[in-house]
Amino acid sequence: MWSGAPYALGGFGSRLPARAVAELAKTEFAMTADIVRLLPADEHDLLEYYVEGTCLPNDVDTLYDALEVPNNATPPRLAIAVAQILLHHIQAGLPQRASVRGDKVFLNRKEHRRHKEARLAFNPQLVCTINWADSVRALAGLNLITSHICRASTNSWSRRAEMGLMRGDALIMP
Amino acid sequence: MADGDLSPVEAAKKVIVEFWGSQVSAWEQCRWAYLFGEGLIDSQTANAWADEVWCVSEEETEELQRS
Repeated sequence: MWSGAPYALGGFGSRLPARAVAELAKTEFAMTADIVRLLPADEHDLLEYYVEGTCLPNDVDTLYDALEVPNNATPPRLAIAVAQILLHHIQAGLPQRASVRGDKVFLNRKEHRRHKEARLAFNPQLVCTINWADSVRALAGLNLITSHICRASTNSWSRRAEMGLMRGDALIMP
Repeated sequence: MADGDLSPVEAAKKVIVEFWGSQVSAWEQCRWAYLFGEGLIDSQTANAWADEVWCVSEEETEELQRS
C-alpha cells in the first residue's frame, strides 16, 4: 500500500548521489515531486490504527466526519471507515436494500466516500454470501450478507500481512 | 483480523466463525438459512464452518428425527 519513493524504505533501487540527482533534475524527464501518494496519509493512518490496534489520536473524529462515517452505528467508527476505504471500488456490487415510496426509490446504503486524493483501489475478495432469511428476528425474506477479505501489507508493518473482514449487508423485503 | 501467516481461507474462517459466534453470544442468533453465493469458499465449506458455530449434538439430532 505504500506508494512513496522506494529507496526511502531501503527497498528496490539504490539512492542516487546528490550530484546525480541534480543532473537528472536538469533533464526534461525529471520528476519535480519526490513522492506521489496513491494512498493519502489519513487513510494510511486509519488502516494502520486498525491493523496495529494502536491508540487513536484525539482529532480522529474530524477525519471520520470528513469521510461521513456514521457515529450512531453498532460497529466502531474505525471499522466502518476501514470498510469504506477497502470496499469503495466494489460497493456497487454489494447487496443493497431499497424501498419505493410514491415515485421515489430510497436506498439503505448511500455511496461510501473516500479521501478526495485517494488513487489506490483495493481488491477485496468475496468469501461467500449467506442469506439469514427468517433467522433474523422481525426480518423476513432475503437478508443477505457478504463477506470479503482484503490482504494489506506494507514495509512499515514489516513482513506481517493482516487481513480484515468487511461486510456488506442488505435486506430485500418480499 | 487474522494473522497474515494464515492462508486466505484459514484467515477468512477465523474471522467469519468468530463473527458468527459473537452473534450467537450476543443475541442467540440462529443459523443462517442458506448460502446465496460462493466465492473463496464453496457451500460445503460454509456449512462446515456453520456447524462449528451452531453445532448440533447427537441427542438433538435424534430428537429432531423422532419429532
